[in-house]
Amino acid sequence: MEEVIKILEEIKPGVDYHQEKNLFEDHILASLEIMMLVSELNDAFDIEITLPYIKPENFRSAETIYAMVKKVQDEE
Amino acid sequence: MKNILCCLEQSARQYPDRVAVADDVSALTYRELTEQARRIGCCVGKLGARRQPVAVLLDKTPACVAAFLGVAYSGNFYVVLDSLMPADRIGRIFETLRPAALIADRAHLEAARALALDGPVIEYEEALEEPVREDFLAEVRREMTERDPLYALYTSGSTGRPKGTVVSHRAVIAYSQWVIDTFGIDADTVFGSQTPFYFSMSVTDLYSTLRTGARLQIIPKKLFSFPLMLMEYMNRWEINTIYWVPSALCIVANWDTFAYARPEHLKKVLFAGEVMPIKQLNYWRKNFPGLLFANLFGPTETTDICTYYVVEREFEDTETLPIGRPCDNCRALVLDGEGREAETGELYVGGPFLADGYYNDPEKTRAAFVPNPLNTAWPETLYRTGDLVSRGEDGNLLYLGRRDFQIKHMGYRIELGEIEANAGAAEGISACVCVYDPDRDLIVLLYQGKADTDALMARLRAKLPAYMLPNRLIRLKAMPYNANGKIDRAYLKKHYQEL
Repeated sequence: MEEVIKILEEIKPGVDYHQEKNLFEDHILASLEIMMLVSELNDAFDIEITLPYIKPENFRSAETIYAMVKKVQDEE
Repeated sequence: MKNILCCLEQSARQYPDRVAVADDVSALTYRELTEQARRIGCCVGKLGARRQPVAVLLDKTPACVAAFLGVAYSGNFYVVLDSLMPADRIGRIFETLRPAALIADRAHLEAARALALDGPVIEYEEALEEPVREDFLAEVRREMTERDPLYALYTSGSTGRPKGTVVSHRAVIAYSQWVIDTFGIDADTVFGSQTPFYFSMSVTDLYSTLRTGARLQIIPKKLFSFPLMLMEYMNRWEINTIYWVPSALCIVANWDTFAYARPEHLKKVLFAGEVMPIKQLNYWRKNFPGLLFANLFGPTETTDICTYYVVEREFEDTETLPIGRPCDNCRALVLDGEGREAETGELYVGGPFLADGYYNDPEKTRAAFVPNPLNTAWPETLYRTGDLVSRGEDGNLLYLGRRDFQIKHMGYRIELGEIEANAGAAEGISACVCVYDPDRDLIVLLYQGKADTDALMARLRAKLPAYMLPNRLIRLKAMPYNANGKIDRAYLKKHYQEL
């Protein structure tokens, strides 16, 4: 979870990712940053996040992002 | 037909209850759209201005279209502002524009009032209450000619001061007629609109739709982040025609979207605005071999497009797609530095698609809209595109790059586009851009994808002469995109050292 937050802070600093629960709808993460985030997550966790995971509910908060990463890991 | 509103009214008579413009939350039928536009026109008309710019500050919604057409009903021309544009840039636009009024909806009213503006702010919702005065609308129509401007569209100028390209009713009528005839736009078309209204590509979507009784289905920008939702949206509204920037088509291809979902109703795929990488085009064509794919090419100054190429054969990943031949009713000449016809040279365009010039900027207008050097018999204006092209063996034009992208490096003349085409075809590259840093005489290739720099360099060595090899390869997690959805080359050129 902390690793996810670290990546988020690198992509877009100045946000309290422990608290923020609506990253996408609040325009904190734009479309481009989602692509960037996925690419960083793939590298950091050595996973391959596929298209079905790319939906707004997975990008709501650091928590949901981490849950998605774990799910991808389990499936691989 | 002298006025684009005649086209709208004809569609409204024929298809009053069909939807003209819709997004995910609202829709206007042809009857409603015309009614709203007439009310707005009468409201703006009370200012007494004619043939003056009226700025429009609304999101990309059906209401925004009603505001555009309302300005046209009032006898003036519209200038769309990007609601996310910094106030400072709007300020610079207003310096040359000095709009007679600004139309904003309630959501943007505060932002509108904060702008330095001489004229009044008209609230869209209030304008809809305005009673229609038939005699006023008839008088405006009688006085207008087809040469009067319909809109002015601001693009970024290289000097930092935005340029407002003035486009007439006649240009839009001539251009949209070509779109309709060439791509078979009709009342059954559902046009999935991606590009913002402040980008010339949207003129194609909007006016080919309004003239034929078709439906313009605005695609929310957010969906391009979530390709499966994009597919779902396209299927829900039965979108059958799209005209997107290649970057948007590439997002779909790079995610291998069609392995999970397919746009079931799609028939026509048009694109323009940047070079379409063949690898991603081939992904689309392999998945949808029966569809029409066409590469359109042109600047804001020719309304939107001047040449086009319908993809009719297989292309290798390393090839470049031609920009084809001139559109019907459009003239394209290839001239060398001395103004003589040449096989390779700068593209000049003439004919009714041409804009009239830049608003309040005679100097830039004179530099770009020039007399045809091949015709001394009568005054004929051509637009200098600044694009380098060459004529291929089959007669199709090939785009070589911007005149200002052609660089001289170690004494060689180099087209950065050729480096991009070869890099873009490589395994594990999903997007790439080549920039040149003249201060340090460096060719820099920035790319996105899994490929490592050594493998990419090895491949380029096998494909390009030594003097064309990039001096630096920079792998990016993601390409930056500008507001139009295109790769932001200007940003990359300026900031590559920090990436």
